[in-house]
Amino acid sequence: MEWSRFIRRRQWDQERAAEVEQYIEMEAADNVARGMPAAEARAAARCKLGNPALIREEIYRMNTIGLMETFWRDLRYTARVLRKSPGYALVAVLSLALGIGANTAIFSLVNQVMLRMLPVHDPAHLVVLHREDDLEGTTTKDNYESVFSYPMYRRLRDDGRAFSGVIARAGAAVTILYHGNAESVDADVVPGNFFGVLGVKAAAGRLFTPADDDAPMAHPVVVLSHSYWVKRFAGSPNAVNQTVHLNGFPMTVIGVSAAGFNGIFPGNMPDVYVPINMLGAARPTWKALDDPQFRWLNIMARTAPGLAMQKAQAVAQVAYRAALDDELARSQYHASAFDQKSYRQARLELRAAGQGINELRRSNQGALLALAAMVGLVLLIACANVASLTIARATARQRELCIRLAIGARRWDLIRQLLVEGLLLALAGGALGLLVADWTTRALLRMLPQDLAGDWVTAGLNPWLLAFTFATALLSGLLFSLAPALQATRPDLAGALRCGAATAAPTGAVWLRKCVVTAQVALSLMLVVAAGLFGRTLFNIARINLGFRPQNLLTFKVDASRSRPNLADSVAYYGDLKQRISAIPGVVGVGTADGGPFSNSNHSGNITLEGYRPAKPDESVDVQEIAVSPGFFAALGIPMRAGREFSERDGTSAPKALVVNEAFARHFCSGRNPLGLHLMFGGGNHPVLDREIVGIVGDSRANSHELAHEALYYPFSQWEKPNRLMFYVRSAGDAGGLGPSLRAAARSADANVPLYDMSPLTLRIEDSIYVERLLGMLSVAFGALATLLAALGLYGIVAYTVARRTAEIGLRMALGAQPGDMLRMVVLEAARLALAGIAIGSAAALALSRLVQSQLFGVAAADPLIFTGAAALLALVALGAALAPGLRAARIDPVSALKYE
Amino acid sequence: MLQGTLDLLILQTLVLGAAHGHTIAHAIEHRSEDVLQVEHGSLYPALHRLQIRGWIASFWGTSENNRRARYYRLTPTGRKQLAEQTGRWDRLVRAVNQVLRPAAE
Repeated sequence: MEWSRFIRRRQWDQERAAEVEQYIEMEAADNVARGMPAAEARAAARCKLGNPALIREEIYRMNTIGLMETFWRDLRYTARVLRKSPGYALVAVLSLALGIGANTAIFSLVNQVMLRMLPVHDPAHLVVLHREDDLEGTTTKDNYESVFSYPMYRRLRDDGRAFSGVIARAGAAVTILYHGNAESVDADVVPGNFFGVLGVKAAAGRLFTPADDDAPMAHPVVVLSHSYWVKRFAGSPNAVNQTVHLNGFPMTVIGVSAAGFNGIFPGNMPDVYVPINMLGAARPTWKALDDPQFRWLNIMARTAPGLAMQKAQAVAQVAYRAALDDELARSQYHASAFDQKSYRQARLELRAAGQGINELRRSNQGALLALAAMVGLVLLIACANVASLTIARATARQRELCIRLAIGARRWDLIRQLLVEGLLLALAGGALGLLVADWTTRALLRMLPQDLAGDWVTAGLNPWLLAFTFATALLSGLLFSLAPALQATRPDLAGALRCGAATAAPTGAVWLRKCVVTAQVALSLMLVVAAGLFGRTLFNIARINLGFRPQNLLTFKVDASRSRPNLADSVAYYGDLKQRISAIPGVVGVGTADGGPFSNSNHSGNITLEGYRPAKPDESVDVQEIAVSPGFFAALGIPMRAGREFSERDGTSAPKALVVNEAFARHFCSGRNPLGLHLMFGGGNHPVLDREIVGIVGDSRANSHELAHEALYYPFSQWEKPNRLMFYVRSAGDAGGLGPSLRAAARSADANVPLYDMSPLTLRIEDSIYVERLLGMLSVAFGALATLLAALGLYGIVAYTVARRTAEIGLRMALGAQPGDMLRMVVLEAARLALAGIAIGSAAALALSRLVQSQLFGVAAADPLIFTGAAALLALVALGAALAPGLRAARIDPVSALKYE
Repeated sequence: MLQGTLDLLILQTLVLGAAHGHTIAHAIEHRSEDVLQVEHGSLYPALHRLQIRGWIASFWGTSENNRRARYYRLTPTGRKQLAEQTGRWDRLVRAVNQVLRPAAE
């Protein structure tokens, strides 16, 4: 009984019919038995029963959910109506599909970068530990990742009052040698409790336990990430218990982490996990396990059950302060009162980390929100366009609506039917929008840097995306059909009386359309301003003077220190590799650096320079310290201003030489000749100024966003400990073709030291400004689209009013008006709409553009040129859109116009 | 006829055992000594409604003159409802009587 009656209504109805039929037969039989003639008996039985159709109908209604029934009827009716006007349906569905699809695509990015939680157990209770220094003049508010020493991690982990589990993580690039193939992969150095605290399961083998991480270098084991396992071991279960060489150390693969888990640092996807106590293998040059001053670990924790974050923070703070006091007591450094104060003032802050340590979100959310806002405007404009069409259509359907009202439809019936029509179009648009979204997302991914697009942000549908699309479609359906529906069904007696006149058009509809067009112009203006601001930003940042020549430079990274922790060995290897590469035909210059332009690595420290007194005693004299090879400046095209470039003679045992940039000379030498000045790295009570400045070079930027820092260069042979280098190889022609010969040269130098991250420098630059590229290109595209739609909307309304007023214009001209007057009248009317839109849009754009100031480069948020340019552009477009109908009005022949009615 | 009265009468009729629509209609008519003229057609929607509420159940059976017919019987819920509604009805009748014939008391 329960539910089946709603679904099997036809069967129910037939049964009722049979039952009623039986009644008639029984009653007729009784009547016959009482002596009635057969024909009469049946009629009498029917009479006694009443109307069988009504009985069945009453029962049928009981089996019906009222709203559903009318909904289906509306839907069927709507489908019929839309089939009759395929042009309208097509335009509406396509514009909505574009709008909804673009929104879905951007939402897909927003979801993946900003909303996605880590696929671990109960991510809501994960927090990241952050060190807050409440010092005068310093702020760490935007310092997203705080790092801690390993001894500090152990104390917090073992304290156990605030947290039910504490984990840590540091990234390290390592060389994996397997089956004679060496490659550089990303490792996460993690403690033994890492997977247990997170609740991550093994896809094969087993994961680390605290027993795998109990003593330095005791357990040479690694865990593979699922994607690396699939990529290198083809997902084979045999990978478990295999031996791989990690930086030359034999290590056993004990297992594979679950699919979908990509570490706790979004944007940085580890290939292998190494126990912290195996740091000696992962980072041979780091002696970090016992040093409380070596801060290198991100710490994440799970708050203890039932402990609110604020409370947990207070509890953890106690343990943290105690540890700091201990460190201070044991340390020989931090003599000055200032240092002691700063040491003691450090506060521990807990931050929700259900999404991991989301650096990706921090660096992208401004741009993503700006994109989401722009794409939202595009959808609004698309809705406005469809609304315009719908109003025009409702006007044309006035007769149909009138007749339906006249034969008894309620106003609500008409509104409901028009809404259903809108929703049907919107849902069709949404369905098609999913295709658009998929295509758009793939296009967007091509604009993202490789390491981001491939690993963290992917195309593809998920329930969240479907829900978003569905909700957006419903909302836009309501948006564009509600006002027209209310307007068209207004209980308007005069309108109803005009049923007969097909040409009648209610002035209310025109007014509503004008509003819609004005809104369209306003929205378009906002998008054109955005296009101006972001386009200008992209233009500025792309043609910035970097201080060197980036063309025809092929770059790659190589790290010999992983297998050659000894300085002399590494230096010898790098020298040999450089020589081999210089010998390759087509190579015209080779430079290497451990912190050069676009290498994303940056070493800075304080210095002590002879004759330089800091303005304040505690001023930190930070400069970039970049180790380079001889020929670096020549290879990159950084101009020498004075002195000399490094040569092969500046070797390990030679006097220590330095080259500084002009920013350094300006800041530290103030009028003195820098050449011949002596300085030392770091400082102390008895400084030994052991390095001499021998040259000055022009400033060059480390990336497109920052100005050149004060920098000093020194020969890498005079390193304190070996490091990773980036090679910049200048070729005579296109740099792309050199790859294979570079790899061959590296193999001949040492097959077990892989080159990695090989890429033309120009591509690195493009990747580094992907946010500006994304915003710049998309905003220009959106702006163009919006302007086009606004022009169409404006043209539509002007052409429509001209057609409506044909008779009036004919009359005016018959009475002596000149064609020029008519043209002016039409154009002025359009201009009023456009100006209103431009005024509203400018105000809104001015208010909103302040919010994107941080995304701009070299242009003010209220740049007057861009604002006036946008207004002028839209005014021109409006003029163009009004001109054609205006000319048509001017050409109206009074005689035929007056006959027309 | 008062709202809900028909339901009560149908339930009361079924106390004696399962019956089909025709029988129920005539039973109500006869037992009220033809005072209550039920429009026989209105019986069927009422039967359907009672079925939806779960107070009666139906099954296909064979009638006294060998025809297939839809039979209705009381469910336990229906029996409880009948007792309850009858009580309520009695109270109503008493109350109305008191108003109409106060002198009799």
